[in-house]
Amino acid sequence: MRVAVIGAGVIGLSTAQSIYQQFHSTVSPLTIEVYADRFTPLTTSDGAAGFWQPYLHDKGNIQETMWNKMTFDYLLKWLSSPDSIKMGIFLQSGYNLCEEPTPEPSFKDIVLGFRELTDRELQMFPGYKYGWFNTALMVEGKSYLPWLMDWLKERGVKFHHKTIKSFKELSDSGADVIVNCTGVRSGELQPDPDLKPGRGQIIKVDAPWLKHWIITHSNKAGTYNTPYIIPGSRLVTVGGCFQVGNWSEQNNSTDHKHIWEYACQLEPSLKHARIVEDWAGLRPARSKVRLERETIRSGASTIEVIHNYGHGGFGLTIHRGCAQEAARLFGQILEQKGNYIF
Amino acid sequence: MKRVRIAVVGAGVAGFSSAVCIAEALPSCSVTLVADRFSPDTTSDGAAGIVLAAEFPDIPLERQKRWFKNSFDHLLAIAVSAHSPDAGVILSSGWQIFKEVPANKKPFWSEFVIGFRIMTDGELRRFPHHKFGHAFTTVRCDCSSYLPWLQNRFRKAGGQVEKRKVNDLQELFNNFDLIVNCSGLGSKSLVGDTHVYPVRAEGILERCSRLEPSLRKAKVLGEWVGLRPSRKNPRVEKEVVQVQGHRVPVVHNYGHGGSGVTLAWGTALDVMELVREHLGEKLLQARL
Repeated sequence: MRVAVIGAGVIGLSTAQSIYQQFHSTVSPLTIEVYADRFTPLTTSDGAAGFWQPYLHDKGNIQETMWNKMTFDYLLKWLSSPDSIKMGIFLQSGYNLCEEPTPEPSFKDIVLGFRELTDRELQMFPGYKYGWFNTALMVEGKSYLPWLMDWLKERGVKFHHKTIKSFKELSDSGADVIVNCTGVRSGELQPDPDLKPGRGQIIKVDAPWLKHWIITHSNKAGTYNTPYIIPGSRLVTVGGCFQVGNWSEQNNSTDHKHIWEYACQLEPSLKHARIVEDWAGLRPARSKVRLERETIRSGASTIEVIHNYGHGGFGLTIHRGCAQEAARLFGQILEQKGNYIF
Repeated sequence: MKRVRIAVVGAGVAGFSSAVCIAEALPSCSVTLVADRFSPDTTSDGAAGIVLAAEFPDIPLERQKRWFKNSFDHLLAIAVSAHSPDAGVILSSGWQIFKEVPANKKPFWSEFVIGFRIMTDGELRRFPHHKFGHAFTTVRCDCSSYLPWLQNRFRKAGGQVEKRKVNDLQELFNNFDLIVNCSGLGSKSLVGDTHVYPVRAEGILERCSRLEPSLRKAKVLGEWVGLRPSRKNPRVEKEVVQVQGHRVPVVHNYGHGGSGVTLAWGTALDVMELVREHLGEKLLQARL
């Protein structure tokens, strides 16, 4: 069984991992190959702050909430290993701030120690009337992706630096199943009007005295269009914006000014921070994650595709749950093909 | 009126906190801080600086609460201001975990820190041998930044600093009208307090790695050994020392053990009040 995974961001690599974990002992031979034109540290997953948190409200997408929880619990278990920091995983607590009272978020029972903010805490953030405090996880792409690649390489997964132009290309070269983890550029392989870039720009600064993440929310402005400050293992990520439809990966100085001004209002001590760099990336925004099988007719034969893209600003947050689900769909394909050896 | 000359002995967190409190609140005094060791060579410099308190057996609870609250509010104001990075004072959230459930689940200082609550079962799961814990946000004060910052504040308030070793408080009696003794462990020899004893911990990295496994991958930057100036209770009180016909007031502020950073400002305010009280008495006596 030959599996071709397209995409080497967190979704592609973790899906390859889940397929290997679930099937390598029962499917022989199982060849997994990853094709991508961008690898760590140049993927969208690398630029993200690496903060585990879904959007505040799941809009009825209970499956996504379940996948988020699976991911959180999975990452939490890794904390008992000394390698957790090599994977970029660590705990960090912080504040979600709202301009007005807001219904509780989908992740309140997933994170640790979720509670409402006390009046004293709200006084620390003038302009915000309501919010929550909890302990969450960080999973930094710049560490996690190399760790995943090493894990996969050790188990014989091959990597190819190549831009794939069509599913047929891979199927013609012998792939039995194609796993499409191409993120924001999925439209190049198969048009998807629901998939749009959600451009974000961030500023990385050196401010080691900051030990909590602070995320602000505004119904008016929309998700991640208001300031957020997320300390990482070495630098602090300051954001942000969420510009739907903007394909530019270049840093924009107007965005920089805007982001910096609002972040400094939120956290005055930032004025002592040393700015290290800016980065812009394109969130693969979609009304919901596309995680499903598709059997594509190609002449006389069929191409089996598993789609796993459209994770917006919560790819790291949801990756493991989706990877396990994608592996389950792979199992379905195996059963149909009669390849499953029990 | 002649300026009252005050000497503060000790340049750790208790010394500088006391010196700043007095210099800022009592401009009629001229304050000189005298010590042989300054940051980064004081006991305070080695402290992690997390503000949480121990309970002392013989000090009235109201006084301990007042010490804690005053210290906490002072440091919190710095932590949420633009001064935070320079002063080395930041907000920090975390857990205090216990192997056995303590008799008192809510310590006296729980009402003063931020968001105090008991840890959930889910949070305790990571720590197999521990049955109970507190979760809260407090402040963390890094003395290697805080002490220089306080020294700066002291200078701005007109304070003077002298680097020398004081072997006997009597050395100071000729030049100063009042002594504030913040000599920590040095009090053992300086004022003959046999109740002060050094406390040191061993085998730290191994025990901590069991709690936080990723520490095994941490690069050790250095080791530091310090002796906490422990005492059954901190000594914060005025004593009048009779020597060669002089009656010299000495205000003691030492013996904070592992709670120096936590209690420094609160005890310094008490010291300042004791000094103010003493000056008031003297004025009264002068008038009678």
